[in-house]
Amino acid sequence: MTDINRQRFLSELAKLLSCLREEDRQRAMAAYTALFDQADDEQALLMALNSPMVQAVQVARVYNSGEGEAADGDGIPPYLQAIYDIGIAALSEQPIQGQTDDGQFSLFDEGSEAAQASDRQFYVPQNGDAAVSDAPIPADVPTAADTASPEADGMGELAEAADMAPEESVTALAGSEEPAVAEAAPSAAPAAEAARTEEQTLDKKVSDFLNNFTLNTDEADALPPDTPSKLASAPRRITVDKTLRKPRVPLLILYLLLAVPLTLAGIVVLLAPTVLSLAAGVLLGATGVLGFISVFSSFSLMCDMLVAAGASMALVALGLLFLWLFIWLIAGAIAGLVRTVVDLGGKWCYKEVPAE
Amino acid sequence: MKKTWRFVITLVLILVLLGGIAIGVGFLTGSSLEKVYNGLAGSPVFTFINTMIGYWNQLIDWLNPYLPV
Repeated sequence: MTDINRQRFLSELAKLLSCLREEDRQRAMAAYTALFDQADDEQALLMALNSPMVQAVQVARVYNSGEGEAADGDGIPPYLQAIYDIGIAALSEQPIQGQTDDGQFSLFDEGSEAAQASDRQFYVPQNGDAAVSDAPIPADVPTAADTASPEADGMGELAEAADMAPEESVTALAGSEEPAVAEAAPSAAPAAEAARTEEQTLDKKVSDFLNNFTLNTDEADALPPDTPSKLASAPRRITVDKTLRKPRVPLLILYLLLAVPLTLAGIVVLLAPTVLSLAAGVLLGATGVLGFISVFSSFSLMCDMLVAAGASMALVALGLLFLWLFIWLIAGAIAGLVRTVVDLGGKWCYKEVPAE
Repeated sequence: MKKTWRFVITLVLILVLLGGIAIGVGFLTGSSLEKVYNGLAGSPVFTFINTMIGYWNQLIDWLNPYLPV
């Protein structure tokens, strides 16, 4: 199981790292292989690495920012440095607990408790908290630069090991493991503790988000066909309404007996101004339009035409106002009254009970 | 609904303003109610208004219970 998962992880990662130059991709894969070779518990390492996609994103991000060139003078390209940091963090921290559902496919479906940090033989450099360099480090904690020289941090050895074959890299690193661990442990412990706390907080946030995240089947089906396989294979949790609305029958009957006559009375009361508004709107509008037409046939003087046209426009305006009032009474007042009564009935006369 | 209200009120106010300006200019340039009334006599609007007034009277008569049979 372990070999299969490791092979699957590496093969998936090799595909995902195709954005790197071939030479750099091979070096990155050699570094990851070295990580696996140096890990006592591969399941724990797999859990800590999370997924090939996550690793590929991290490496690609660093690679794109640094274009694979060595950032500092020690000859280690930034993306390789990032891989070492990831590996150090993965092997020096507690294993991350699985965040997948029982029915969901996971690379880490068993053996999650196997890894113990105290048993690790992986080389930890003196700046062992470099992998969590984003975490705030207390000012009073001595950093790696205070306690060790660049030559002694062992990172160069790890870089060379990455360039070697996996078997060679294990051999090369074997001789320098324990002294470095002994030197790094006292100075890095508080910072690593702070970083671990922050990482646990972050993990909790991610876990909460994943627990609350649901992807409806309709939404999942609506994904375009060229959606990346990871997104397309995202867990489909069907959101199910787990409550049922059950009527309170006596209350519902009582409400109907009261609400129906009152609603009808309200509609009748509202219908009177509605009909009057319609009649007034139609009459005023028709009068205004006819008056405007008559202006050009009944008058010869401009002053009389202006007075008649002005009066017609005012009548049209009033007719328009009454017509709009009619529409508002129908669509707003009467429909609103009915909607309010129905909503109140649903609110008062129904209760929500948990589904079986 | 709120935006439609605003649009309708704006339109009505514009029409009333234009009508008021036209009426004011007409009266200031020599028109009068008598001339306008005489001019509208026999026009479609006059006929329409007379017809409506006739319908209104019939309605009042129909609703009045004290009319002699």
